[in-house]
Amino acid sequence: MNFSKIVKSSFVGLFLGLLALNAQAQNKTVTGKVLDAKDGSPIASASVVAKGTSTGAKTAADGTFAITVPSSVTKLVVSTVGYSSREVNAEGNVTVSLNQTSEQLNEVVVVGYGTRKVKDATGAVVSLGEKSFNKGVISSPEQLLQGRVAGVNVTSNSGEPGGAVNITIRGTSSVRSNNNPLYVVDGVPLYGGGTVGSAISVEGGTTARNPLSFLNPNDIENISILKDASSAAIYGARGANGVVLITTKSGKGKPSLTFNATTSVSTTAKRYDLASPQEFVYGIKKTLESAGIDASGVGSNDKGFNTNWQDQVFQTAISNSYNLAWGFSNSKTSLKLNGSYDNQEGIVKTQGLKRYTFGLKYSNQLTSRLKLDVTANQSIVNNKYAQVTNNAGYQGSLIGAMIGANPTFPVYDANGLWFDNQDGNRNPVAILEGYNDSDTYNKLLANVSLSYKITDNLTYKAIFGMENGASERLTFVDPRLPGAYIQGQINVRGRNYPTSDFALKGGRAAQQFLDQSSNLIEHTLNYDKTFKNGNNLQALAAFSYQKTTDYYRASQRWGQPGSTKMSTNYKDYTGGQTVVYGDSTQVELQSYFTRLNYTMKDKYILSALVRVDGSSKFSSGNKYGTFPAFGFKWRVLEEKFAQNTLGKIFSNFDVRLNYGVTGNQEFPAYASLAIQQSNFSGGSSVITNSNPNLKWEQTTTQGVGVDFTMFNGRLNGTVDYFNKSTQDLLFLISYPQPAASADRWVNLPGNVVNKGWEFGLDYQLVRPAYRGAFGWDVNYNMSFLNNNVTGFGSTVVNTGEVSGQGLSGAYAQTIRDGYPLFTFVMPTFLRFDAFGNGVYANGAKDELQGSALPKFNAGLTNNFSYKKFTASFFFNAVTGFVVYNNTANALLLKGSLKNAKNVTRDVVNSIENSINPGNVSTRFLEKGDYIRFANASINYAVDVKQGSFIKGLNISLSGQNLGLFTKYSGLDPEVNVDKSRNGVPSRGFDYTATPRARVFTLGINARF
Amino acid sequence: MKNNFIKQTAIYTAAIAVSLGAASCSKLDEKVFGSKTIAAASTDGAASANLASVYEATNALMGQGNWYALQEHSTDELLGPTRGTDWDDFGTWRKIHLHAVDGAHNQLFDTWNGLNGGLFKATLVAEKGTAADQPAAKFLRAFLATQVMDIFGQVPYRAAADGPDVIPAVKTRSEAFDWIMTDLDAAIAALPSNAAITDSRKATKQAAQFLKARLMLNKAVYKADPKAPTTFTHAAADMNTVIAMVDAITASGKFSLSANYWDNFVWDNHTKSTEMIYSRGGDGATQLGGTINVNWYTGMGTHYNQTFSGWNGFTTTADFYNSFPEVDKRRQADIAGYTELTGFNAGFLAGQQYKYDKGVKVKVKDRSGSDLVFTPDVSLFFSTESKGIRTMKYPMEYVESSNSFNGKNDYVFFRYADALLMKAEAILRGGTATGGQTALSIVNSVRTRSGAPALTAVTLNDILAERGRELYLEAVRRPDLIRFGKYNDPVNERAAKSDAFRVVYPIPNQAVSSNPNLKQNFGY
Repeated sequence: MNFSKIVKSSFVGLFLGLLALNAQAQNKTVTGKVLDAKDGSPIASASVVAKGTSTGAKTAADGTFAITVPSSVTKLVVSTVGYSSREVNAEGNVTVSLNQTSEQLNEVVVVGYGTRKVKDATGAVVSLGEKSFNKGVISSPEQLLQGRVAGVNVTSNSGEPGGAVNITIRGTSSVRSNNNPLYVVDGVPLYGGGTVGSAISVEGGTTARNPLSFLNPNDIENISILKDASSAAIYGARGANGVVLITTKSGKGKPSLTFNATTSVSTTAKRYDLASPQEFVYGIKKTLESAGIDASGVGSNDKGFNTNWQDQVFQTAISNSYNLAWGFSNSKTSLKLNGSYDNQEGIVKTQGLKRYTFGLKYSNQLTSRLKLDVTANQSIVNNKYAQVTNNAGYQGSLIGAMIGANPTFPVYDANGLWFDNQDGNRNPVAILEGYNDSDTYNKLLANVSLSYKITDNLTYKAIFGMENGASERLTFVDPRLPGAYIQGQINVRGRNYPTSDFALKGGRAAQQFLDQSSNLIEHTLNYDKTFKNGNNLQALAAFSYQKTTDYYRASQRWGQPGSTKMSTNYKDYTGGQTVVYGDSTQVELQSYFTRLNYTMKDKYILSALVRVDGSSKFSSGNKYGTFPAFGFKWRVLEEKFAQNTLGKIFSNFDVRLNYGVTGNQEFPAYASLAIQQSNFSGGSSVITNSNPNLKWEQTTTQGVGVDFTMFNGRLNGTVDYFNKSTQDLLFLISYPQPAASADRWVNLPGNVVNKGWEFGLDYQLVRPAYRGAFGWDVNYNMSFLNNNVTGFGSTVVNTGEVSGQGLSGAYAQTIRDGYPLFTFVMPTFLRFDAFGNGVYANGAKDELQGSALPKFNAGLTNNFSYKKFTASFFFNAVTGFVVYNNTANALLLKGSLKNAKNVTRDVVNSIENSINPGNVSTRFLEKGDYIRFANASINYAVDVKQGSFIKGLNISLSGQNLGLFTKYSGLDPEVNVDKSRNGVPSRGFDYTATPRARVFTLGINARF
Repeated sequence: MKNNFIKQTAIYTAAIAVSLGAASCSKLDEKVFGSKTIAAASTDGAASANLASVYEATNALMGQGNWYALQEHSTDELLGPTRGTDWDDFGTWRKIHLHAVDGAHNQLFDTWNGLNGGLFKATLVAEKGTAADQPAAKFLRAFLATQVMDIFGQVPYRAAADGPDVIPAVKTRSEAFDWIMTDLDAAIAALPSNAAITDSRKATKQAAQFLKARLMLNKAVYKADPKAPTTFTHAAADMNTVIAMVDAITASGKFSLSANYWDNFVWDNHTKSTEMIYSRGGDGATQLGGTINVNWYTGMGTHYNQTFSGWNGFTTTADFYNSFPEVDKRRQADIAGYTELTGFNAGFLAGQQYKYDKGVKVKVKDRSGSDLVFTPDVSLFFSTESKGIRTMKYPMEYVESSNSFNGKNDYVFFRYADALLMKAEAILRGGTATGGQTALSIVNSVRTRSGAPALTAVTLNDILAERGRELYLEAVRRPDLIRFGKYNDPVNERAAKSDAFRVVYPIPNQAVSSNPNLKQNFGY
C-alpha cells in the first residue's frame, strides 16, 4: 500500500468512524439534564415538553429535569430563550445540549450585499469565526483558513514572511489568468494589487508578494467563503474563482479594551543534508578519479575552513505582535478602534516584515431611518527581502549559492571582505549582506455608507469605497561585491536594457514605485417583507462602479564616486546612468445586478440573481457579460412525511441545488486594442496585436449539497458535489506573423472542468457534562477534486520552466486535451548505467507524468476543553499530486560536485557519473503526498476576580508546522515557486525557495 | 452639536456618493497613459512605427542564440557541447549541430518571431511612413526578409493596411526573392550614398548594393525547386550582377581592405575599420534604435575563471581550427592594449589560458583546480570544462581600473572583404572579370593582408575555404556551405551526412498552427 493510499484511507476511515461513534441507550423513564452546548454549564428554567402534547416541565437550577410522558410520546422538545430548541428521543436519561441561537442555524452568514441566516442560505457558503482560525505567526488572512475549509486549498509558496499564498476554491479553473478568489473587505472588493513584485535588475524575478498582507489578522471577525456560483455570481465578473468576504470586528456591548501580545520563535523545520568539508573534498577527488581526470589540483579547493553555510544564512527568528482594540456599542452607535504592530523576522537572515495598522469601524443610527457606517483601515507594511529568486540560473540565488558554497571556504577574507575565490561561485553571505532590498507599502482601505429606510420594507444604501496603495521599493547593491555578479543586461518589467559593466563598480541603486487606487460607488435598494403566512421576500437591485488605476515607475542609478561602502540613500548614486521607466493602466468595471430571495413556509427557499458586468478591457461590442444564478434549498424535515422517516435520524436535513455563471476578465488591460509605445532608444511602434472580439471567460457551476444535523445536534455535516466548467478561456496564443508581437489574447475553445466532492463535519465527541468538565470537539473536512482539460483540440501549451545551469529552455509541464492542468511531461528515468550515466525509458521520449494539482485534501481539528484549559490540534493531509524538485535538478548532481560545488550527502555517495547531464526527467519528479501537524494551541483562562480591573485574561501557547510526514526528498512538498513560461502559470515546482519555519508562539490576551 | 456634525457629514457624504454615482455611468472606454498611445488604425494613413524601431528590430540578429546559432552551430564553425551539468539546455544547441532541428525547437520559434516582428515594423514604415523614411525601411525590410527566406524558405506578408484578423499570405522562396529584389532596387535608387565610413550604421546605397550582390550570388539556391533544394546552376548574368554591385561599392571610394584584419572587430572598429558597409553599433551616438553590447561574443566561449568571466560554452571544431595555417593572423593575433592586460589573444583561444593577477601573468585554473588548457578535441554529448577551442572575434575594451569590459564594438553585418570574395566567386562561376581584378588576385589580396601565403591558383573550393577563414563567425557559413553543396556533409561531431531537405529549417509548429497558409517545409 503506498503512502498516498494510507493517507487517504486513514482519513476517510476516520470520517466513517466518526459517524458510527454515537451510542444510544434504550430506556423508557425520561430524566435528564439541559446544558449549554458551548461550555457545558447547566441551563435553568428551560422548558421540556412532550412533543404533540401539552405535558411539560422546567429544568432546575442545576439543569436537571424529570418528566412523565404518555408511552406513545417518542420525542421531547427542549427550549429556552436565547437557545435554539431541540428535539430529543423521549427515552431514558438524556443530556440535552442547547446551542445559543447566535450560533448554528440562526447564525447569520455574510453572503455579499447582505446576510442570510444559515438555514436560509441556498449556496455553498462557509463561514469561519475567530475561534476556528489558525493560530501563531499569521502574516496574512489566508493563513487563518489554511486546511480548515473543504474545497479551499491554500498553499503558501514558500516560508518567506509575507510571501505569496496560492488559494484556490474548488480547483483551478482558468488556464491563463489568475485563479485567486475575489476578496471583499467590509463590502469593498479589493483590487488585488499589491507591492512592487520584484526588485528590478538585481537578481532576476523575486518571489511574489501577498496582496493581503496589509490586513491585521487580529482585526478579522469573520471570513465567509462563497464557494459556489449561485452565491458568488452576485460578484458576477469576478466571482469565477470564488469570493472571500472578510468582515472586520465592530464594537460590541460595554466599552472594553482588549490587548493581545505574542512572541514567536521560528526555526527552519528542515535543512539540506549537505556534505561536511571532509566529505566534500574527498567527494571531489573521488569524482575526478572515477572519471579518469587528474585530481592533483583538488587541493586548491580545500581552504581548510569549516563553514556551515546554512548557519550563515538561516537564523532563529523572533517575531512580536501587539494589538490593542477598544470599542463599545449602544442602541444607536457602535465604535471600534484598533491598532497593531507586528515585527516578523524571517528564518533567512535579513528577511522580515513590519506592519503597523490602524482600524476604525463606526456605525451610527442617525435617525430612525438613516444610518451611517464608516470603516477605515490604514496600514504600513515594511518588507525586507533576501535575494531569493524564482529563476536564478548558473550562479544561483541566495539559497542556491548556500547549497553549493564550498564548506572549506571562510566567510570573510583577511581584509574582512566577503571571501571570493574568483571562480564565479558566489559567497552566500555576500548575497545577504551586499544587498539592501526593502519596500514600504502604505495602504488605506475605507468605505462610507449611508442607508435610508424609505419604508419599513425598503432600504436604500449608498457606498463609497476607496482603496489607495502606495509602495516604494528600494534596492541597493554594495560596491564591494565582485563585478562578476552583475553584467550584461538588466530586465525592467519585461524589457532588457543594456548595462555597462564599468558603471556597476560603484554599486547600484534602484527605486521603484507602485501607486494603486481603486474607487467604488454602489447604490443598492433592498426590499424585505415577511408576509402574514410567514413567507419572506428579499429583493435587491443595485448599481456598482469601480475604477482602478495603477501607476508604476522605476529608476536606477550606478556608482557612488569615491565610496567603498553601500549607501542606502538613492541620491548618493551619482556616478552612472539612470534608467527611468514607467507604466500606468486604468480599468473600469460597471455593473447592474438584482437578486430575489423567497422563503416559502420555511421549507422552500429560492434565490435567483442576475448581474450584468461591463469592463473597459473589452471593445465596445463585448464590454458587457450577463451572469445569472439560481439556488434552491429544501428543508426536508419541514415536510410532514419526512418527520417519521428521516426525522428519526436527523434533526435537520436540507438539500441544496445551485447553478450559476460567473465571469473572468483577469487579463492585462488593453488586449483588445493596438497599443503603440515609444521606448528609451527612440523607437516607437505598435507593440500589441489587438483583438476587438475578446469577450468574458465564463464559468458555469452546477452543484448539489446536503446539510444535516444528527445525534441531538452533536454532529453537523455538509456534503457537496460540484461540477464547474470554464469556457471561452482567456489565453495568449501565437499570432500569425509578421506582427507587432508574438502572440495575442483570444478566447480559446475548450473547457477546464473541475468536479469534486466536499465533506465537512463538526462532531461533539465528548460533551462537557458540566462547566469545566472534559469536552472534545472534532472538526473534519475533506475534498476530492478532479481537474481536466477538454475540447482543447491539438493545442499544446508548455509551461514550467526548469531553472539551472545547462537547463536553458527546459520545461516540464504541459496543458493539453484530456489531461489535468499542470500535467508534467518528461522522459521516464530508469537508473544509472554501469558508467553512471542516466538511462531513460523509450529512448528518452517525453511522457505525461501526472499533475501538480492535489486530488485529495483533508483537515482534522481536535478541540479539547477542560477546566480553564482549551486546546486545539490541527492536522492537514494533501495527496494525489507530484512535485518537481528543481533544486535537486539544478544543484544536487554529481557534476556539481566535480565543479567544486557542495551537494547533499546522498549525491556524494551516488554512482552518478560527473559528466552525466542533469536532464529533466522523472528522476526529479516525486510524489508530494503529505500529512502535516500544522497547528496546535493550548489556551489557559486565568481566574480574574469579579469586578476587578481586568475582565479577562488568557494565556496561550501555539505551534505551527510541528511535524511533516512525507516521502518527498526536498524540504517540503507544499511549495510553489513560480516557473511560468511565456506568462503561462506553473504549479508544483520546488526551486531554492525560502524553507518553511517551525514556529512556537506565546501569547496573552487581556480584556479590560 | 456633535450629533449635528455627524449628520452634516452624513449628508455631505450622501451628496458626494450620489453625485459620483450619477456621474459614474461610464462608457467604459480604455484610456492609455505615458509612453503609450492607441495605435493608428490599420486603415489610417499614418504608420504605427518609426524607423528607429525598425533598426532596433535588427537586434533579433544579435546574441549567441536564435538566428546566430541557427546560422553557425549548423556548420563546422561552432558547436555547443554538453559539459556534464552545464550546457545540455534541453539539447537545443546539439540539435542544431546535428541537423536535427524540428518544428518544436525553441530557438527556431524565437527566431521566427524576432525576424517577422521586425519585418512587420519595416512594412509599416515602408508602406505608410514618410517619403524620407521609406527607402531605408525598404532596405531593412529586404534585409530581414532575406533572413526569413534564407532560414525558413517561406516568407509571410502582412500589409500595413491589414486588419487584426487578416491571416497573412505566404510567399514561396522564389516569390519572396523577387519581392525582396523589388524593395532593394527601390532602396538602391533612393538611398543616399555612404558619405563617410562611419555611416555604416544606417541604410546606404552601398549597403543595399551589397545585399543585392549577396542575393544574386545565392539566387540559384533561392530559386531551386523546394523538393530538390541542393540542385541548382548559377546563371552568368546573375554573376555579372554580383560583380556590378561589388564594383559599384568599390566605385564609391569609401571602402578598402583594412591593413589589420582585427581592426574590423576590436572595440574601436567603428572608426578603425575601412571595410564596414553595414553594422550595428555599441556606443551611443549616431545610431537609430539604441545600442548593442557584443559581450556575448566573448562570453559564449570563455571560461568562468578567465578575465572576462564567460559561460564556458561554445567551441569551434578541430577540423575548422586546423584549416588555418599557423602564420595566419586571423587564427591568432595579439592585440595591443588588450592581450598584455587580459591574457586573451584575438582569434582562437587554444592551449593553456592565462590571465593577469596584479600585473603578474598566471595560469587560469578550471573549477576543480586543474590548469585550464583548451584542446581541439570535443565531444558533443560528454565534454569536460576544458574541451574545445574557443573563439575571440570581438575583443572588447578592457578597463583596467575597474577590471571590466566595455562591449561597445560595432557588430558587422556587411564587410568589404566579403564583397571582394563574392566578386571572386562570381568570376569563377561564370561572371566576367572587371577592373583588372581576377579571382586569384582578389583572394590573395585578402589572404596576404593577414599573413597567409599567396595562392598560385584558385578554385571554387579554395574560395569556400577562404571565405571560412576570412568570415568565420560572421553568420555566412551556412549559406556558403549550401551554395557550395557541402552543407549536408559530415563535420566533426556530426558523423553522418544529413538529408538534403535540411538546407532549409522547418517552420515552427506554433507558426504552422497559427496560419493555415503556412505549409510545413518539404521533408519535415
